[in-house]
Amino acid sequence: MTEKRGTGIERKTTCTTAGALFVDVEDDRIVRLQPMHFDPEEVQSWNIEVNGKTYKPPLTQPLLPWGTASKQIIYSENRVKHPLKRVDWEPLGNRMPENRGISGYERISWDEMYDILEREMRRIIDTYGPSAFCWSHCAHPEWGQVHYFYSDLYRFWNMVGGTYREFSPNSWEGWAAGATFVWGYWPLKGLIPSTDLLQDVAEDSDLIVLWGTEPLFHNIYSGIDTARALKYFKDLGKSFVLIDPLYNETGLAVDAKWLRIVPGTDAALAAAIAHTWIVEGTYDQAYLDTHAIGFDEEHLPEGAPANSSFKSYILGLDKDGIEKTPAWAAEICGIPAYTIQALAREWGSKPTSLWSLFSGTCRRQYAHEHTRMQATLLAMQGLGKPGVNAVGSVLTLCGPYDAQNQIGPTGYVDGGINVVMDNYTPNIVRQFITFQKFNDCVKNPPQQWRGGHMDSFNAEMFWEEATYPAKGCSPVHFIWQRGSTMTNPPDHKRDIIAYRDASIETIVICAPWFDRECRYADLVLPITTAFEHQDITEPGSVAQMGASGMGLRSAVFHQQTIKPIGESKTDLEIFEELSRRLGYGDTYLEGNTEETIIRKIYDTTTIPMEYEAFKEKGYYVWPAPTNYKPNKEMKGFYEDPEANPVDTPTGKLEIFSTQLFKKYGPDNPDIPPVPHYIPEREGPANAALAERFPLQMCMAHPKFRFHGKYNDVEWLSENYKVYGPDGYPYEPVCLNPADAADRGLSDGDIVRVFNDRGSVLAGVKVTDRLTPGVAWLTYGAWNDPVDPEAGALDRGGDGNVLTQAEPMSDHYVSGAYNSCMIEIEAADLDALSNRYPEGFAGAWSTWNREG
Amino acid sequence: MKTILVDPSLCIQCTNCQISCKDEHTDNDWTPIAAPQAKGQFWIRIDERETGSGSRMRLERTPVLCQHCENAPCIAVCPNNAIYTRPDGIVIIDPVACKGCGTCRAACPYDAVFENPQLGISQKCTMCAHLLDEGWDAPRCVRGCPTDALQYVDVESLNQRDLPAPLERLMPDEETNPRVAYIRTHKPFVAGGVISPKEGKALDGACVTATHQVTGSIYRTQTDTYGDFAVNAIEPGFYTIEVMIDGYYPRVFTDYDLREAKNMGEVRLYPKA
Repeated sequence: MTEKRGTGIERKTTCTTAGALFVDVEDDRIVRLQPMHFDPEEVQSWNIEVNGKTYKPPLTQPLLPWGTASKQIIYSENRVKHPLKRVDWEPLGNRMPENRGISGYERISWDEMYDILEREMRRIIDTYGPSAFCWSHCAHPEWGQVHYFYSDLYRFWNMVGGTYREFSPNSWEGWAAGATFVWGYWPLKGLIPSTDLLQDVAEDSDLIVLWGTEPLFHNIYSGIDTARALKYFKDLGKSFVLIDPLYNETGLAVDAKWLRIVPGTDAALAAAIAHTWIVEGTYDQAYLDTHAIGFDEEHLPEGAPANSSFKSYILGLDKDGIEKTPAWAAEICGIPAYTIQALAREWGSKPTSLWSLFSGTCRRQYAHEHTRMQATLLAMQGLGKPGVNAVGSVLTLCGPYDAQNQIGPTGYVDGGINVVMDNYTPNIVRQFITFQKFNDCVKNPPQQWRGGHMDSFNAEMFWEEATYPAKGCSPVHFIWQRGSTMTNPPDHKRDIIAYRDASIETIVICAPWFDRECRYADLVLPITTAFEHQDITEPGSVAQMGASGMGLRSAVFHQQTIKPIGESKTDLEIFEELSRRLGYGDTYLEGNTEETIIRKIYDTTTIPMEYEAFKEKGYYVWPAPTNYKPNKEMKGFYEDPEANPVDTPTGKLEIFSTQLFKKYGPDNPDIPPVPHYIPEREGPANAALAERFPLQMCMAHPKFRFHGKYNDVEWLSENYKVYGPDGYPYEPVCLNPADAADRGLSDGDIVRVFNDRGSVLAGVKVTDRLTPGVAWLTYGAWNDPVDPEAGALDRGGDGNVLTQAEPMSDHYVSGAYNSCMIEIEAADLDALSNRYPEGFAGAWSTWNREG
Repeated sequence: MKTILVDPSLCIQCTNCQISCKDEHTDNDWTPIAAPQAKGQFWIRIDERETGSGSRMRLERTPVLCQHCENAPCIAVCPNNAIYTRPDGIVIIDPVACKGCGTCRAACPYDAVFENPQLGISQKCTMCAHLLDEGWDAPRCVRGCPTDALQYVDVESLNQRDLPAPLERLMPDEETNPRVAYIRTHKPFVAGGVISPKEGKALDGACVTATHQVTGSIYRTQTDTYGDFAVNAIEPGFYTIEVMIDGYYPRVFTDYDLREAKNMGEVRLYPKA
């Protein structure tokens, strides 16, 4: 509500990736921010009642810590306030690509910037054609429907044409590459929608198994909202088990029974659980007979060899001849056999929700085997039965929720302004690069691979052959990226090497803050934050997955709370100007403005208010749906699989995958037709590697950063960084007391964390939260190389300096970076600072624009 | 009259309370209630402490802020009479009258008072009195808490009928009579896992009895399906711990040091012949 508070303070509204906010402003200065709060009178809430206990969504909207710290983020000294050009990049002269990351930046005017961009883009089109443009974006820029990458960015580049540098679904790679072959759900990349799971879990699940997942601090959208729901489940007497190398925040919060697993051995544990169920007869054979294929020899598809069923694999009747007993698994996964058996017995005797979708376990070598194994365990217990569910850490616990005419951003779906425009054309350039192949494409073309798309709507698309350069296309010469994301992809010295290649003539980054990739750009464009422009969204709305469904459904008008910082502009303004300069006339905005687009989007909603009144008030809360009947996603399949088949060739849960069998035959060691435990190439089973790098790195998400965003925010960092004797805020590396003692390390020591790919400095935190043999060093700390060479020691402590960009397996091109072996030793800071005086003075810090 | 009720068992150290406080008080001047908060101050902080060990560890978090004591040591020691209690019980350091001598900082047993070197004053939590006076229904930290670890409640509700757990105060031995209230503060526990190594199985339903060797207080629990037990919220001290289940020889541990929480690890029982 825009409310005069009598003191000159005006209350405005906006919404960020961290949640919806009230913003109190006075004289164009933000006085305070707080989570959006509804009055009880304006809310017709829903509630859930089980055993006399009630769950009601909160009136105060959930807000993640960096949302609360927005003031430091908006007014950060690292804001890009003016258009910047790298000092020794001359578009008409020498471009000095080898100096990316080394030289500094100078302020130029917007007119100069536009002139350069227009000339460069025309040159690229004339010289190479539009396929030489390479456009990309960070995964989570500012929240919005208009000002969002699937909206304005897609529209512009689809119009101009360009090579899309694409993310694979790297938050849930293994599910996209594995579970899809068991249960379909291709449009969601293997995730089962969460419709009505809040009620179903509350009513019918007696056990909740958290397998590698952290719902409480998964660090996106409405995560923190699960705190009250978890408390509710606990008060209802449900048991919690956590299977994770880290005793994570959710485990701590619910006091879960913690099974300390060796990372990457999840499929071995799952196999042993299945073994106990088979031997003791505590699984649902009748369900498997009618709902699945390939569990046993009697239900193998036509043409499958004998003894190729899952049951034969588990009982050792197949080729490997090993019975997957709890004792066998205990040796591999580090959990005592009696504990594995106890878990299998509890799980086999209680309706259980397996909280496993997403999770770090799915970004490992052979992670498709883990997810297929998880799906198989769920099938063995009758997935879709009351209380038997696949749940995820992100976006996937939904209460009574009517997503009709939802306002985005709808997650990973093309939309935004394009939904209300008259015309929208698909990208005329058919070339793309999946992000993990970027270095290979630039440095060693030609390249070939399969898949790696964000969207694969079926197995054929998943396996689509890609070549680079594609037929009739140019190699890329011009990069345009929204936002920085350099700390997310693995082994990113590879990106630095590619960025310094002479074939990359121009790099443009549009970002509110100067960090990470900006340091390798030639042109940096200052962009507004969500506080400085108008937009319209639903908080946490990711429609297909039913995110914000745990809360009250609401819409927020992003009122412009303050004027743009410095000379920052919206991407929309920039694209509109460039469209006109490049001769597209009205094609980009079709004569619209930010305001008319928002108005048109508003007209597609069901909000029963006048637009002006909504805009003035800033939000709307939908009343609870009436006569609501829960209908969870897998209920229909459970009740009648013939009438409600899953999206597989047989319509059943394919424990034996007919598609994988057809593609790879019966004996592909990377991906057999039924899920197997396959030891990781980079894991403790690799004795030669483990001898040199005996610790497994855990990359659980940072608690106080949004991936790599907000590393510089003191109100966040003062709670987690380890301040060294030199006063530098080192990224923490958490170690078990035994591993610390073995290395003579204690709390606060500054250490070097290293492997063959790189090394970083970090500050030790000793904690029993880690399984022995595992060190938690996360990603996202801004790179601060002590030396300009790619691969230099990173004082910033970003874990992705150490991770590998190898494919998951022969089956899948992307995403195995959580399989990472490292060693840790005490660092001699005095020696290092003497050896690298400039580096320790911040010469190559990725947030240093001076050079 | 209202106060803050803290339930540390619900705290997830999201630090929204702390950051809300900084958002409200940094760069904002709410004189006469508070001058701008200096960098690096924590008017509300989360103390963290690991207890137990191994797979039976706990991370105990306790939000700590000025306790707005009825018998406030800071008021007693201030040489400038700069600290006072409002009629609603909120203790305020007057930012104008304070000379920053630091006597109050040394006197506060909760380490809840901070130095502002730029302004030459001492500062602490005001319970956002400037907002309450404007009609706000809760201080910023409470508004920011997503788990109900902090609640703003009527002091009349701090009784055994309206509370889900016994009312506690922080550091009662200091006799400061805090107005800020606590429930479910962290207490020592003993946990372990009872197994039969001979049979390679966890023992479900074993009885665990812990007897305080001085007070004679007895705590009992049973093992769960994993053979696990946890005796919670015990008085610190030395214990006799007895673990027994039908068909197995019992184990008795004497002089067991539970002045701090402990993970006993595996307790092995052997079947009777």
